[in-house]
Amino acid sequence: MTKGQRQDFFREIKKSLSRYLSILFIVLLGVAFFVGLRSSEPAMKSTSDTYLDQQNFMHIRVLGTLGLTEGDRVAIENVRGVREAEGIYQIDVLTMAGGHEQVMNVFSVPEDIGQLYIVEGRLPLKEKECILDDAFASSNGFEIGDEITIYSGTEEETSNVFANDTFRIVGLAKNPYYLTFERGSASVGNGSQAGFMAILKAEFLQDYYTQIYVTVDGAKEMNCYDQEYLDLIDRMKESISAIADKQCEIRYDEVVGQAERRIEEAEAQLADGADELKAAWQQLEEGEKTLAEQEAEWKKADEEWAANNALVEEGKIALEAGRAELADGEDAYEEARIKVVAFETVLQGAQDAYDRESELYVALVTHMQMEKVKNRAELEAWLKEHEIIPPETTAPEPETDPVETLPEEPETDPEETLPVEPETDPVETLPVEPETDPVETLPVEPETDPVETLPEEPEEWELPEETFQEEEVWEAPELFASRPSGRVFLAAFTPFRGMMPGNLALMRSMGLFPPAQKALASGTANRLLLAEEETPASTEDWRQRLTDLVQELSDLLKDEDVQNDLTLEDVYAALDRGEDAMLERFSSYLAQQKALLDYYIQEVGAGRAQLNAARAQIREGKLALAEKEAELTLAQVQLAAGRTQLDAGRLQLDEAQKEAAKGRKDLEAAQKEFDEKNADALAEIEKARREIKKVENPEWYVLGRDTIQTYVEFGQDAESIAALAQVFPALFFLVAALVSLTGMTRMVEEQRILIGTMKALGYGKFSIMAKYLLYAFSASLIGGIFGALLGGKVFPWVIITAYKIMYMNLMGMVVHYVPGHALLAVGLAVGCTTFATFFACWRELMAMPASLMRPPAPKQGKRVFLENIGFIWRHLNFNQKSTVRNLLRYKKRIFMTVFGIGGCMSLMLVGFGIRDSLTQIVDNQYATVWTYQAYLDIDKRSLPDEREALTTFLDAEKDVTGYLWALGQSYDFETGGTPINADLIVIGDPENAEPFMSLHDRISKEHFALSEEGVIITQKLATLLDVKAGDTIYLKESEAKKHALKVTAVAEHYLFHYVYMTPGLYRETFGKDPVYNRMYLNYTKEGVEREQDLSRELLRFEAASSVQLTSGMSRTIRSMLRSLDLVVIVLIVSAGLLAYVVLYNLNSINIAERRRELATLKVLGFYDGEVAMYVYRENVILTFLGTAAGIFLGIWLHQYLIRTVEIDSMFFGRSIYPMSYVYASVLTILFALIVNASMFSQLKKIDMVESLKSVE
Amino acid sequence: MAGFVELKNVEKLYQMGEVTIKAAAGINFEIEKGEFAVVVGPSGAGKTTVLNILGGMDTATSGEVLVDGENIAALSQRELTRYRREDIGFVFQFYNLVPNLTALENVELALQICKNHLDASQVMWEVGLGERMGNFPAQLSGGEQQRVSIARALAKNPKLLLCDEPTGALDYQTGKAILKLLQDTCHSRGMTVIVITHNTAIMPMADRIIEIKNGRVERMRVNENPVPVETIEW
Repeated sequence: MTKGQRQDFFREIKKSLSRYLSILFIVLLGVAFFVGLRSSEPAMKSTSDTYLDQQNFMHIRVLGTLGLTEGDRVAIENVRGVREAEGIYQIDVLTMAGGHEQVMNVFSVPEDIGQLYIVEGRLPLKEKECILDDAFASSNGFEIGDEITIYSGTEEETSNVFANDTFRIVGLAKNPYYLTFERGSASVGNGSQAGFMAILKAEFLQDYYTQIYVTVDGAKEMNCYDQEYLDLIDRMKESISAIADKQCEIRYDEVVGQAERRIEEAEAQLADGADELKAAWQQLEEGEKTLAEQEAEWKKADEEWAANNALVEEGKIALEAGRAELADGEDAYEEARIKVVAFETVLQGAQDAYDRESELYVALVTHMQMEKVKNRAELEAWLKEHEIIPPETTAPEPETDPVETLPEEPETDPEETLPVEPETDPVETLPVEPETDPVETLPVEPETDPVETLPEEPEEWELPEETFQEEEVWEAPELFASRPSGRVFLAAFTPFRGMMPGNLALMRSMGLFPPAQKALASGTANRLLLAEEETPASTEDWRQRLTDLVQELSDLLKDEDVQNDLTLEDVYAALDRGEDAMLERFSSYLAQQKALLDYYIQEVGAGRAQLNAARAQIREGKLALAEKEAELTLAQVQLAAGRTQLDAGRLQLDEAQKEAAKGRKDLEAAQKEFDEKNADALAEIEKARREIKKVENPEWYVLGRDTIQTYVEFGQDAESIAALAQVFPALFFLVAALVSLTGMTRMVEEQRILIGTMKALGYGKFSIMAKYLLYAFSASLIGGIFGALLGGKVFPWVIITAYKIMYMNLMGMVVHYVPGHALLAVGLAVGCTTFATFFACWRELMAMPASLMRPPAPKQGKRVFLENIGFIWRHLNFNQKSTVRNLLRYKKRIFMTVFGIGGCMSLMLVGFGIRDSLTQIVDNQYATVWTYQAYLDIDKRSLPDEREALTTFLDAEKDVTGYLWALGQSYDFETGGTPINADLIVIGDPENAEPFMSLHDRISKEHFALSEEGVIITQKLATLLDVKAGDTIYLKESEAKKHALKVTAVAEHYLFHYVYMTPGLYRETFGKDPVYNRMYLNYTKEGVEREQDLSRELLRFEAASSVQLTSGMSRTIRSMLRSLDLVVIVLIVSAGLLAYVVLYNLNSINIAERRRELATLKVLGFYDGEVAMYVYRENVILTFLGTAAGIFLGIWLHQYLIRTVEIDSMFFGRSIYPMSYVYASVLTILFALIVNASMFSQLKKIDMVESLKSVE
Repeated sequence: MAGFVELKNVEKLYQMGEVTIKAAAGINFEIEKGEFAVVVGPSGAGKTTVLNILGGMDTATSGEVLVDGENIAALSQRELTRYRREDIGFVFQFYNLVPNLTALENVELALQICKNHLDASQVMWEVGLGERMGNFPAQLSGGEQQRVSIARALAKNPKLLLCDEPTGALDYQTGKAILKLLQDTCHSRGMTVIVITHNTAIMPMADRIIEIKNGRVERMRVNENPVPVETIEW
């Protein structure tokens, strides 16, 4: 290249920058699209893989039908190649959230494998803490710090499963297990998990793991979607499965052993219960017997008491009588005493009189002696005087003390001898011991007859003989003559003495007193008699008489006459005599009196003694009476106490009886309950036994990540993007190539004169060509490199970001450049444009320089074929004619435009079409093929009665309109090639299957009926097996056993593969009756509204193991398909870009080529709009043509794509919905309009002066 | 009486960066109705500017341009377009026929937008192309193409026929024939025709000659005795 050429090259670029850039950008776009789309799949996969690896997500998980033990875990961990194994507890429970019941997947916090991605907060560290599903929390308004309560969804008590049921939320997390908002299905509640929750392992009470997560050595380094990885995992799965049998055996023994032990325990418990009950009965009976005995005893005691009471009553009466007698005796005594006292008064009087008299006597004697002395002295004196002196002879007994001579002892106080002490109250002297509390002394035992204790004969009561002897004192000789009779009386009473001492005493006293009275009476009488007969009236009389006598004597003595007459001796003698006589008389009187007094005293003493004795007797009687009374009182008190005790006893007895009755009732109730429970328990045990028998040898499921829905879905999504990447970038490449080809062709054409000149100047072909080649090469290379760089990052970023809307739990993003794709894309782009340029140049360079120097012959106007059809041509107006001719003038442009617009249209149509195809799966599958509203998985081992319970319920449930039994069993089917796995469905009642499923031809909608002749298979299966109606397929029961089945029809079907047959054919084929394991259900509109509740109710039945709601499944799939909207958007956006680039380019060229023409039109006075329309009319027609072409291209592409991306288990819908055509067309036209509108300014800018210029 | 076409102090300034170029520095002339006027001058004298301004393709920076009493210098773009389509017939140096349309259709193209137009085929006959109406421009010679161009301009029945070097791309004879056609048209129809050319040789055939030099009218004279084209040689 010369310097001039180089300069020319750069100036050329500068001059035609828009062309250069348009080539650059179309290449950039094409390469970006290609590289971006191709890189999206690996980017998606490595994003997912990186995230899963980062969370140390399991590579393999092992599930066991009977759970897995720590032993299993260790065994798995020991398998060669296993890096780690971690046991996980997991259970579906229910919780109330957002106002309704939702299923919560609760599992133990994974410690190492499959760690949770913590969004906020932390992992639970202690009991009652949990980390909650971030998405669930946000949709149900849970926040950190809130509490969440879970409860069991089965009959199992929540407390049997978890240590706690309420947890505080300490963190929010995402689980790598769930990449989308879908949480999987559940066996409780409404059947679909709403969220997850992780708690500590310790919270789980179960003793076995639900699953074991396994990581594999070396797997982390691989991309989990790669074949290499899948191979490794397959190998590991085999290794783990190899130890399964052994571990399962251990587990089986453990479980069955445990269950049997539990049954034994239960039986033992039951037996214990029965024993206990029996013991209780025995106890009750014994108690009742004791009670009866006590009752009898009580009655006996009561009777005894009554007898004693009667005795006491009798005693009371006797006492009363004794008391009366005593009172009588007392009265008599009182009478006697009064008499004695009166007598004593008399005696006192007599005593006093006697005393006075004796005093008087003494005084008299004294006086007389003194008188005698005096008289003697006087006499002597007188005699002396008269010389008659008496000798010394004096009075005879001047020394003798008259007092001493007194015969009576006046000092003897009669009072003292009185035995009666009237002041002493007899009652007080009663020997009652008041201090001793009678109550305290009450005999404790009511049974002991108080009566018996009564006559404890006290010794003192014995009337001793001596006392009787004492009585003897009283026995005055005659006065008590009647006494013996009293003794007899007493003796007669003696036998009763013990019992009635009071009486006895009384009697005695009664018997004693009469003689005393008599004695008293007689004494008095005697005395009175005595006094009247012999004694002066009184002592006074006596004294008077004595005084008189003395006086007489004195007088006599004083008489001198007498004195003289008398000798002294005489006188003395006379005096002595007189005195003596008087003294004697007096003395005798005194003696008499004394004797009388003594008698009296004696009498009084006797009376008093008698009285004393009587009193003693009374006292004794009283004492006895008191004693008796005390005894009686005691007895009464005792009786009362006895009564009280008896009553208390009665009360107690009644109470005890009541209690016993109650006890009996209770026991009867207990017995009843026990009987009932026993029956239940026995049934339960029986059931448990049956369950045990039902326990099959456990099985392990060793699963890879490919069983995790979202993992697989994401992989599929990545692959669908990859499928897009297979087709669409090619389209863009084509467009890019075409655009650059036209651009370069035009450039070369424009410069033909230059080329000719260069050629004429002697430059070589390739030297001239180099400019154009370099022009195209540099534009496409720069565009390509930038496209690869940009596309490789931006497209995957956009696509992954968009997918993350759905895969909301996918974290991070890994976008790697894929050098291969970039190189390929850039290479292709550069190659295409350069090659196109080469061709354009080549053609020109082949021409002769001379012809090149001339301006190109203007393109000839040509009559178009349409003009020959005058009929049409004539009906066109001028504008239309000119448009048609203009259109047909530039064939390349037509082709390019139609291709561009058609490409745009087809891309959009494919986008909508893919969505339609997949939507049809749901729409057709669940609306026209599967017309049932739900299906129930029936536990295959469920018993007839359990099934009956279910059907009874369904029959009764008014919202359920019908049900259909069926057997679903997976088999391999083949026709010689690769076997295809499909579900064999045996319809229980083929005649009435119509409301549940429709087997019909996809196109003709002709309905097929099941017959005994053969099976109806689904269309995709027919395609895969390459069979049609009438052919035979083989069902592989085992490697050795194959059954030939005739295909009677191929039915429309979209999801998975099914082979339908009648029960008859099943019997014929397998030689046994089908055991139905599923049930299709239909219900009313009301039923649909409450289907969630309905399914919950259904799940309560033993026979029903799970419920699949058609609405739920179609909803799930629909939401899954929503990701396809993204594909549609990607396609629409690319289509728009494509349309824009192509149309803009073509319009630019069009305008540039017709610049002069358009300028002329302007000069001619065309308004801008008219000028634009002149161009647009063509574009509009081309747009419509392109759209029409796009429809065909789109349909073809759609079919191609559907078949390419269709997976084996599905049949994608083949048609595109009419609305999709409408959408695609409208969008295409809209894009075209936008492009045209953007061209308007260009049109406006065309300078009219151009028209004046010469043609170049 | 004022001229049918009258330019008064028309100035046209082009701003080329910092330099201001005066393409027209106060042009004054007037043309009577029905006159065959020739505007001559050397290249760069301002002929094309005059043409552009008269043709409504450009506007004057200052001054008045009166066409049939209407000051087109004051018209808006849209009014100018109306002016072009109704009042002006334009004949291009390079014919500017739409190659994709037949001769007749090219005439019709102009008539599409014109109200008061003549019959296309009649005009074609008049310009002597009655036989070749169905031919595409590529099938016609340069003179024939220019005839089509003239027919296209005439058919609009304009007030003013502007011709930009109508013979520039034609050979001598053909050029003469075209000029004749224009002159005849002028005279027979009373059409005001303005021919812009650098060819001073054709001045004698004009009714009015306007010589422009350096953006000014150097000389304007009325040719009292215009000669037929046939008599002119160059």
